[in-house]
Amino acid sequence: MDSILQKLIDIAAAEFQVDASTLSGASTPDDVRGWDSESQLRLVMATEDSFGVSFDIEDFEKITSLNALAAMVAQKRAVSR
Amino acid sequence: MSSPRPNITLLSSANWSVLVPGIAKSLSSHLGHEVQLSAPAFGQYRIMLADPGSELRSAGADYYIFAERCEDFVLPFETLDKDLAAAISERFEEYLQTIRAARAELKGIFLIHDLVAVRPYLATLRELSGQDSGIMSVLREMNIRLAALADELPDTVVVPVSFVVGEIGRQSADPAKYWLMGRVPFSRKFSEPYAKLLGGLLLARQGRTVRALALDLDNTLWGGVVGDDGIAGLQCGTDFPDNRFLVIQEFARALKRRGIVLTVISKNTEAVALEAIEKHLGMVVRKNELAGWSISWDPKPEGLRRIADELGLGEGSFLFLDDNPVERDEMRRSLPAVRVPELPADVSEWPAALFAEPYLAAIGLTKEDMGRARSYEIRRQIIEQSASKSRGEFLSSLEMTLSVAPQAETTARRVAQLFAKTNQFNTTAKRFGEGDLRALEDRGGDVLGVRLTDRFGSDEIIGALAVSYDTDARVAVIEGFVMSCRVLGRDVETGILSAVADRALARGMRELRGAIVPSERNQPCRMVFAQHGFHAAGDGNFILALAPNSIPWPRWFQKVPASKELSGQ
Repeated sequence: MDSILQKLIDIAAAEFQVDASTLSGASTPDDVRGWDSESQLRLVMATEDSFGVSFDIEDFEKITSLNALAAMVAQKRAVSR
Repeated sequence: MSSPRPNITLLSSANWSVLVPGIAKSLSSHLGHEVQLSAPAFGQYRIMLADPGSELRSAGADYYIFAERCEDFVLPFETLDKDLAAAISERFEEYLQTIRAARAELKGIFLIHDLVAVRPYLATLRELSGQDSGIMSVLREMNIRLAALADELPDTVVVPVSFVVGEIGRQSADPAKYWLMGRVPFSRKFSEPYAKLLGGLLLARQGRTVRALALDLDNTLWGGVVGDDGIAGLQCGTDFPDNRFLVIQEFARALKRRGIVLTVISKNTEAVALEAIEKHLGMVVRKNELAGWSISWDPKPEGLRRIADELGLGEGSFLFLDDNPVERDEMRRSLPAVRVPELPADVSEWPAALFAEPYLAAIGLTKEDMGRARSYEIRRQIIEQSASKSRGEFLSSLEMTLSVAPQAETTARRVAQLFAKTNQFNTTAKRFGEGDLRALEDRGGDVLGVRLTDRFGSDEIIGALAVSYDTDARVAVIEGFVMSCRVLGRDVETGILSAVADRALARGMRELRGAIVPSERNQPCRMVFAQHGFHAAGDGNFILALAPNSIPWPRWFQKVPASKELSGQ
């Protein structure tokens, strides 16, 4: 879980154009300046590429924080194994 | 001269902003400098183009990318009956008209994406092959019209995104759910190969693509080490595994036929290596196809520098191919301007690795491109021969003709190419686009092409000038003067200036002026006006008072009769 979150933080930092040190699992769209619907779209696309998972349209509204996203990635990876 | 940080605006009905940051980053890395890539609010560009007060109109980008897609005209799963086909055709024509109208209002280079189906569709096999009317035949027709528009308008190039989709596959390029969610036009996987294609296009326009290959010998052009294995021990021939090395030789020759000059840089005893090149039965590239070589035990960067000087090319004009990662690394460290791509261990896979290499990109080829390698070979022969005769005698023996005449429709592309790509012999470093040149002619100025032939069969346009005339003040101004460095040493520039002076005098001018604007690379031309009797007026401006024979015509060039307009491809 930790390594997934760490990787997500790096991806998010690149897509939101913020320093990775300002992000954590608790980061939400409200806290992070660069996190809008467009950059979230890019974040999800990058996450799909990076982890080889696929998000459904329903999943999108559940991405309330980076922890939530990491949990979803972990769950999807478990399912696909 | 394109700005250090080119401004690229992408116009589309889809939402490219999701992909823009990735494309911009990748493009910057290919070009070696930052780019500014933006896409104004999608779907609004037509309104913005039509509004003279809009930001889009006033911002003045360097490049505009018209990025409408197949799906903007043909919705997937539509039945393409006659009525629908006609409606699509009309909608497409409106798009072309928008581009045409924009061309009249905007400066900058226009890039137009071609059309390819990316979202899933239904098609019979005969529709796929185009035998029956369907999506494929509709797309083909639209792409033909699009290409015709690009040929018609100045400074307009088609970007073949269909090639990118072909490379990665429709399924990889399909944005899938992101299309439905946010009108995202392509998947993320599309971004990198697209940026590579765009990078090559921009490099080609800027004249920054390579002009020469620097090839290693051992384990690159043949298997084995000639110093150790002897000629008989080398692997090079038509049977596997020797034919792996023929792949890269054929690749090199194909590049040569497209204007890239071949050189060899090898750590070997020169006589031994040259004998192998000449004698080995399997070799395809022979010594007479090389523009130069540096075969010694010196470090390769020194060898490359030597060849670069010999050929009058900058180090950045070379692409270095060597199987040895240590040699590649040393070249990168010592001469960072040289292009050194990373290469797989298997030589036969190099053409795949170099496929769509941006520094080998070309927008189109002219006759001059295809003859370029040969003129370097000739230049080498000229240098070798000139030692034995007096200079004037020798130059006369070349039986050269020189003509300076207004560009014709057939030569306009070559002239524009010279203005766009010449960096060294370029007096003002001003990048005249096709639009600029036409505007100059409309104002009564001359766009002149310089054609040189010699007895070896060379016949090409090797220089160009943009000259304006002020009939009130009776002053002619050379706004731009470009010439290919490979014809230096023959006093071609004297002939050119002599002809330009005569033309100006015939038009009633009293003075001929020219300016030298120093740039990073135009050292070879900085003295050209001073050396021909122009008086230095300060600030890089030079003035010549015109009189008959102010600049004598060099006797070893035969003049082409003035009535003959510049013709040829």
